Amino acid sequence: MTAALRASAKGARIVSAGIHMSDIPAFPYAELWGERSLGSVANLTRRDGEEFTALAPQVPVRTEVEVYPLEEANQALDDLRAGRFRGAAVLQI
Amino acid sequence: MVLERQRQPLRLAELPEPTPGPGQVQLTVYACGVCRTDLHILDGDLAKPKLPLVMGHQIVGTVRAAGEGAERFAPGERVGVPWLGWTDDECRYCRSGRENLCDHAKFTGYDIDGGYAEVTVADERFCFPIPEGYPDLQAAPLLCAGLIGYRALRLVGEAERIGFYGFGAAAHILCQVAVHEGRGSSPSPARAMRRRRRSRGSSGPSGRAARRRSRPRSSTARSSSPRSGR
Repeated sequence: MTAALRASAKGARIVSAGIHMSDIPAFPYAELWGERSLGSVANLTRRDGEEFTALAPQVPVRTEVEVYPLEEANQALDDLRAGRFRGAAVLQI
Repeated sequence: MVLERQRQPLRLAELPEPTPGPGQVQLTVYACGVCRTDLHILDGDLAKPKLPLVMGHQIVGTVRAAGEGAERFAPGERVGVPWLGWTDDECRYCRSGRENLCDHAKFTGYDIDGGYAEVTVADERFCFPIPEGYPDLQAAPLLCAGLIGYRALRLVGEAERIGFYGFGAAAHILCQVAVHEGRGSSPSPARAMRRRRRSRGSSGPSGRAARRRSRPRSSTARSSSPRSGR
């Protein structure tokens, strides 16, 4: 977040979208000044879900997916942890 | 696949078929996304999952049966189920359009069994129709990576240039949405973050960030569109 803050223009909003994060290191107030703000996103609303599931096929969003059978869920989790693929892992059932 | 204890691998198991309660639908699961949040559950960073637990909160499936009072979907309809699985609809957050912050929220694949399974049940209020023709495998990652990213994108407001830091599935999806909306997305900070992550192993922050910059309208939208999916 501090890297994004340093790179941002005045008035920037830095939004963190992870549910669990490592600590944010201390940074000089001058980097926040200029009406920059730091924030987070928690979960979703039904409105987000309905809007986005309708929007995505129109873009259309094409996600690079790494497909695993259900019984290889542990492998999918290991590969995600190790960064072995780009995009998203999906179990196909 | 069942999580019996945190910090242990999931175990393949035969479980009794879940039956839909009032307001719930029973789903045949076709696809379920694997999310970094699942790693946080597995590793104990998120400390209080129901146990034993079926993880998975990016579920695509079709409706098999409906519980009492569940009338929103007909059998055979395809739906997606996200992380937010239940809210009380009456706390101050729910009443002010911020059900994402509900004091009593329950989460799919954390408080409620999720989609690492052949069959699951879900509250019909939190099932979204998936448009016809959009593939199951493409729809699954929309339901967390896409949705949480979409919410972050909404929160950066009218920014014309957006930087993505920590290039995971959310950034991968939201770059495409940002470009579709005519906004510039800058791949360079993401590349810088990848270099930083490599240099300190895989323990870096799991989330993504979007940065808002006020720029003149003449700035060029640059696409970092990923290759097309399978």
